[in-house]
Amino acid sequence: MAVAVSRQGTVAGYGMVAQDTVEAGELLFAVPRAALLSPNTCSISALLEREQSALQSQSGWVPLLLALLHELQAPASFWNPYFALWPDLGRLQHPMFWPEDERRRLLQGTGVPEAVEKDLVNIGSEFHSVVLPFMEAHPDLFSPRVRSLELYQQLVALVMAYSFQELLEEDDDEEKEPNSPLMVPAADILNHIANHNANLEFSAECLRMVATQPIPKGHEIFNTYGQMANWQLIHMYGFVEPYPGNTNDTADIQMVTVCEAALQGTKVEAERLLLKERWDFLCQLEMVGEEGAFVIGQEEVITEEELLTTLKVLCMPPEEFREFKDQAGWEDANRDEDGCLPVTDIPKFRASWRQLLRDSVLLTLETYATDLQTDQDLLANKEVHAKLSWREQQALQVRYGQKIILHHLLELTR
Amino acid sequence: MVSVSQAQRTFCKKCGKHQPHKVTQYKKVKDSVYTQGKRRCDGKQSGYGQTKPMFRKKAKTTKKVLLRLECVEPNCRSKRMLAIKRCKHSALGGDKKRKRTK
Repeated sequence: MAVAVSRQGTVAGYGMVAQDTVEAGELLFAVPRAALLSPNTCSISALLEREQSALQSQSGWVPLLLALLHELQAPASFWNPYFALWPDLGRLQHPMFWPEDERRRLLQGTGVPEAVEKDLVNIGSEFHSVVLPFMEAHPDLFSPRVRSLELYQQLVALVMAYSFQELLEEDDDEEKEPNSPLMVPAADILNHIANHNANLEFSAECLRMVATQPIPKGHEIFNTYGQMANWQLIHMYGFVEPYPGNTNDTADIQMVTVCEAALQGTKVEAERLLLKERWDFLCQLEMVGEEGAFVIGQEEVITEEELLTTLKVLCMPPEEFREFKDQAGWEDANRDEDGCLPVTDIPKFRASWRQLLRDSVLLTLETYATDLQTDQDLLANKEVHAKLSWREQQALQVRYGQKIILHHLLELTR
Repeated sequence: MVSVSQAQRTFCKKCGKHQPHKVTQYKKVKDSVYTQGKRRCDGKQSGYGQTKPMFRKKAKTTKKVLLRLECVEPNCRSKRMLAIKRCKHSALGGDKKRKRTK
């Protein structure tokens, strides 16, 4: 057997380790489709299928969660051995389980508290309006001990952290019906890092975990959960990659913050009105929205099209804007370099763009409870750092990674 | 193995008639988590129920090949996309099949 499950994981819990040297491209293990745990494979699949319209919800996760709730209380469930490997549901580390004030204080400015608050509202509402009534209508399938909001929330966190989603046909950015998540035994034991060495492939007969890099004997095998920033890792998975390991880390600049920064530069009402016109136009172009954010990575701007268009439209002279607005709709023939904006291009921007970007970054940095220096000091001082709780250490990494990116932008826009 | 020629006469929407087109392969920006679906820069969505922009643990090994057809007419230069079936290897301007002589 090429792989072994081990408690030598990078996070508390299990991980998988190579027993022998593995070559890139080598098959590590295969999971038959019959082993998957999903609304279609569970023992109440027919019922869930029949009732699917009653189980519709915003999240789309209800059928899977009901499948889990049923199998967990079924005395002889096919998946009992799988459940035995699950983490302790009472000890999950997601911020949704932290006390509210601690979460808000430690993660202020990162976007995580807001996301978690939305989660908690949605979990509660779906549980009470859909899940609990369903369980009470089928009491023989859901024993009283699983009819619990606390358990439901734990299972949601488990699905966030351990589920998989079969990728749909990529139709060039088409909005497809999201696929419901499913559980893949064995494959979900693998941990994640940015510099991963394995990948899960879906095929008709089975799911294959394949090495993507050579793996020396004894080394841990890491899957990828996607290109995740630390704020996303902590939100959905309850862990982070300490600096500088997470090369996929990003910082967000809220779109409305850029508008605010531009507003700061206006002196008279006429200018403010014009700014509103420019902003509304950007909304029409679907480049910005009230809820959106520009996403900045370590090496490049992820939302390059949105940022470039926004800087262009907000900074262009009024006459140019008039003309530009009228011509909107026709795809520019000059769209050569679409899809790439390395941060090293930023110093080459014209002064007005750099200024606006700089002011936006400054406003963003103000949303955090502390500055970069404070976080830097905590990291540098080994004694003080060791005394921090696990949560404090994780939150520090989330804040720090974002602030580093933002400060880098400050340097690039000088 | 799929091969496609580098130039093709085909219908141009803007000109309203057949024109020569330049054929290039569309290079999708690397499959970053952020380019999945339209709403990649939405504000922090609820993680409960999240499917986009965060796709989970990755999957497919082949991609549909996308071609970018650009009208050669200098005042037009309009572009459109054409998708061909999934394949492992494709070549632009590969071996031309020769017409069989009777």
